[in-house]
Amino acid sequence: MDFDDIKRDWKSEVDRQAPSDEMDRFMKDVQERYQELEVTVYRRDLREIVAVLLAIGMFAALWPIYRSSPVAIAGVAIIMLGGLVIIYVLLSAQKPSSLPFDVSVVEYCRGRLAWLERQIRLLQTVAWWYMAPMAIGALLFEWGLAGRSAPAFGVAALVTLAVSVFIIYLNKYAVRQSLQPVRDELARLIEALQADDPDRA
Amino acid sequence: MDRQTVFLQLLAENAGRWRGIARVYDRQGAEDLLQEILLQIWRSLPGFRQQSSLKTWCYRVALNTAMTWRRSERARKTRLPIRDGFSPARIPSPPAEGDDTESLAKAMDQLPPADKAVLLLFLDEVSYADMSEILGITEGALRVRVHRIKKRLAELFGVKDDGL
Repeated sequence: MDFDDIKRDWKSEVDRQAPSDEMDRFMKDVQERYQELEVTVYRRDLREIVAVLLAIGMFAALWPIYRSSPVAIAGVAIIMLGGLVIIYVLLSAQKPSSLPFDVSVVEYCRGRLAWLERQIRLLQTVAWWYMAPMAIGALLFEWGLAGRSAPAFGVAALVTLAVSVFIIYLNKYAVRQSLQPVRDELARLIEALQADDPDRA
Repeated sequence: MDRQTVFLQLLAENAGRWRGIARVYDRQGAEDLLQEILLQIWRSLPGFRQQSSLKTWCYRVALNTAMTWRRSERARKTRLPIRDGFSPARIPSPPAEGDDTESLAKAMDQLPPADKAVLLLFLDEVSYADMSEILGITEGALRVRVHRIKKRLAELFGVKDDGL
């Protein structure tokens, strides 16, 4: 094997032409997939907003039950404000689809690495911007509703705390299993791309 | 020219090249990767500002997609199912096992992702200036890298570089 063989192989790959009669149909398929992709991204955002709005609606519907308890009202207010914060954080987080693909490979990898690091920070701090307001609001709500029944409040509080800890664990697990290996691999790729560059920063 | 006309023209000129890139970076999942490359080309086309040649631009989009393919959570999440009647395999037919691209596959299998990109561009006779623009590294570094890749292939397979 010599470089001519390798070069000839690559030329043979490049020279394989698409059958012309398939082009129009293929074009249509790509356009349809593009539209589906855009709808998928849009649906994801919509799902996040609808979930929070449903929670807000549910607490609004429960108003007759807790209107006599200032503690429960405070809890619901915290949950609702927390919901708005969650919507803001999720929607303001840059979507991966907004990263431009037509920049240089090093630039693209750096952009993707920066996005991954932001995602990791977001998931690692989920206890503060997501769980804390929800759990504190839920605990106050449960306390307000339970009145003088300490056992009822105790059970509800335990369930709330257990669910909160589980969600925090799931997020940390996702960071450890999915995002950190990808980030490390990207960092290695950038390092490898720039390995021979004497002018690298 | 409208987006569709440009895309069809690019497809006619680059279908084999994009398939080749997909096969080099993910031989098993080449169909999925090719589909993703085509989607990203289509999505990115409105952003083409003619500051570089279309060939250079296409290489950037295709390599960015391919080199981060395994790393991309988004790609996995947004990948769409292949429906009846559609298969990127139709453009163009994939070569069979043990076909005439065996030397290329053998060489690429030994290289890390960054070196694969450099070798692909080099084999495609892309100038060092364009390679630099595509990869975002200096021409000097690219020359060193090409020399290193040749040396590595020579060590591994006894490849002679007289031909290039």
